[in-house]
Amino acid sequence: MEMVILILKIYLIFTICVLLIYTIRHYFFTMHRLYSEQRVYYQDIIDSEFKKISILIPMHNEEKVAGQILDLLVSNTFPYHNVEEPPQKILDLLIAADYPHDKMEIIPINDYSSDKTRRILDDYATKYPFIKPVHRYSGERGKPAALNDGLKRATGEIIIVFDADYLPPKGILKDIAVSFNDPEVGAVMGRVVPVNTKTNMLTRLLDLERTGGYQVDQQARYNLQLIPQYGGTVGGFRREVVEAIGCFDTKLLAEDTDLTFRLLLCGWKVIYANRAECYEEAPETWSTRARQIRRWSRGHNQVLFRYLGPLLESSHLTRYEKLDGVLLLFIYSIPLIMVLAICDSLALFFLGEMQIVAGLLPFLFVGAYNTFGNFAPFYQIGIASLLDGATNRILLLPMLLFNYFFNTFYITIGFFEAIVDTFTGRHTKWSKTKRFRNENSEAPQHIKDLRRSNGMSNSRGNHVSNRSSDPNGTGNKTRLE
Amino acid sequence: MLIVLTALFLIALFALPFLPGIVEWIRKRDAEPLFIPMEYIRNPRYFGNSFRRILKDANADSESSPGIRTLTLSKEEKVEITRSVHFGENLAIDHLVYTRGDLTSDGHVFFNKELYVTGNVAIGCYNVIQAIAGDGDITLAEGTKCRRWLDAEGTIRTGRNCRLGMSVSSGDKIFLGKNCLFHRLFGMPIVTGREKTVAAHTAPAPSLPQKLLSNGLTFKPLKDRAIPPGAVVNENVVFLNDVEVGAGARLKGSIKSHGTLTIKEDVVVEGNIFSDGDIIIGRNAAVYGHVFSQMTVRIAGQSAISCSNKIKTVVGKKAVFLEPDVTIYGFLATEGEGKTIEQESCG
Repeated sequence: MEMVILILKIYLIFTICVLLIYTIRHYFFTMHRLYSEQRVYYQDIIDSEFKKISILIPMHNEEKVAGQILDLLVSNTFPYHNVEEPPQKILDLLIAADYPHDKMEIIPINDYSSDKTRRILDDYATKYPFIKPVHRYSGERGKPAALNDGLKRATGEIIIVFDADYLPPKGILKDIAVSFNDPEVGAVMGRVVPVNTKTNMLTRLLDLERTGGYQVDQQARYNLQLIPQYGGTVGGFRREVVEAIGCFDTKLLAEDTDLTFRLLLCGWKVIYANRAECYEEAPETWSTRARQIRRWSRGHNQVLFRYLGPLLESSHLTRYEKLDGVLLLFIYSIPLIMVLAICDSLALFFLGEMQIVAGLLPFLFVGAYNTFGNFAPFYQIGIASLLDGATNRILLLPMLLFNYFFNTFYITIGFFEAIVDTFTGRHTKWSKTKRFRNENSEAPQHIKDLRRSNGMSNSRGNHVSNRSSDPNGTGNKTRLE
Repeated sequence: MLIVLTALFLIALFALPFLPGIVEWIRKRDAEPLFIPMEYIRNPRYFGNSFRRILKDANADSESSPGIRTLTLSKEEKVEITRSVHFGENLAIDHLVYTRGDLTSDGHVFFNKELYVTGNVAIGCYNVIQAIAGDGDITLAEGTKCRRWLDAEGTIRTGRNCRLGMSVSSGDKIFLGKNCLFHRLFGMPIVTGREKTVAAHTAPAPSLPQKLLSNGLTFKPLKDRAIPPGAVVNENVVFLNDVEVGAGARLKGSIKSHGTLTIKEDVVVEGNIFSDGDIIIGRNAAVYGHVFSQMTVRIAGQSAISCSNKIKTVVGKKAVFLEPDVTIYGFLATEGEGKTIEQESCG
């Protein structure tokens, strides 16, 4: 019994240490983002030479959103083959076009769709020769397998990936592609911003989570030259490099985290582009969010089990990168550690062994942790919102407590699934996040205006080809961040 | 009763922290998604083009007779419509000026509002100007201070000791005098020091195949601190320390340093130069790609960045210092201090 109590006490102390480390990490990143010098991204580079890019968009039953992302990407290119446009207008369009279409190809990957996705993609392909859909109705299913098939078709030097529900703004292709002028960059990650923020409480809380994750966490890691994470969408990588390391592992659910660590272990850098912002659709129901976070946890922990050892042994990484990498790998294990610690402390309490250390110092420590430690993630999100110029949404911060318990539950389930995956080698099944967009979806006013002025489809790809583009742009936001 | 009251009190205590959030959830005062400019395109000549468009939208070009008009631009503004005009010494002009023809000024004139000139502009010594959009050439005499921006379809020439505001852009060339301060420049090319005939620079044909090396990288990570003088490097290289590229070396790929990167005289770099530290480019060097530093860039005389048919970029986050006789084709930007310096201290 004494041995059991000793183990319980040691585990409790271990948990306190882990929590302390992550608390320090939260505060360090937040303070660094707030007060330290920011490392500039490459968005200020202007180049008359464009790298050839291939844009991969995995799609499974995406009829609600397929037309919108293609419309937005097509509007970044020139020409439209619209012979009725006067020459001056065509010149304006050429100036306004962000990426020349002879230097890009769009590869939507239809992965076993049973809705109208196939028809929509084929419609676009007939109108735009640089849209080259891949239809998959055999072989493995899921995003990694779809991306692998897309890579086989791709001819671009740089691969840029979007999920089908994303709404890429005009400058984003250039902003992502430009980073590959740096010879050391293997992958780049942009920033994801939920578009359906005001739908319900869940989307508002997810918006806060995303803000904290990108505006502070990713940017601080980029500033500190640690390990910004490639997130699998709104990002790019070098095609030949990924082909050389064997493309995507179809057994893993977090192909993005897997790629991050494989690139790092090969000596490449992953960087973060806070300027490359793109709207996404956040899950609108708790059940969809549960499946998403469970899949992330399962995939991330698969990566943890696979790369923890190689990460520590790598000769390509600095000791700080290794430390950050370890903390990043364990991020989806913390909820389980916490759950076990709660059980542990309950057991010790009922065994009458809760008093591990006594005295004023531990009392002050517990008080300090209650005051500062528990609020570290909330503080990070609050500061991130502040940096984004948000105002009243910061009042929602206490509500994240409910998200915390919700995430803890599903992340823990995902952790156990990853353990089973690792020991049994079973094949994982990709679970696509449900889309909610429809004709009645609320969108920011400036996107509605854009859709109206460009004659874009609202949801089902009923696009109008006679769209116009604002030849004057919207402003010179050339900024060094 | 007491139990009920106590329970209600505890519930209230529990709910209190959530109350402002619930109010925000219901009222949705800050519920819109974060703003992303969906149509934004980077344009180094944005200020000038935008100003011209605003004037055009206000039908300023249809005002034929000289005089002061009130036009609605972004707000109501007084605009003086003139033909070719000259402003005498020590004047203070507090309205916009729209000149059909040339505009000239004597010393110490204060232009407190923007100028649009269809012809050439010649600004006298120690003027203070808000901004100029010119369809011809713009010439600034010594000591002129620009508060915001300059944009010309033709050539921009500046004298010594000018302060050039946030942005100077030209559809043609920019010639910068000594001791000028700037933040952003765009010209084809930008030349420092005395005005000269700019010989066309052409880039060498790309000679570096971007094949993967044996370890899967397209670059070679090196812990060395130098590339020997006269060496030819046939691959992209990344140095993990400070590095010095010896005189006369030729790099056929790109180079990156995690520390300070010093390029000695007569070096040719066919690719890009990136550094986490300072970049110091010596005399008579030629770089055909971008120059990007998280710290400071210093470029010595007779060096050229990019070539006449390509736009490339020089970024020095903290500062960019250019000696006389530097030629840059394209864009230059710094968050900190940009300056044309007199001393020849680089390389």
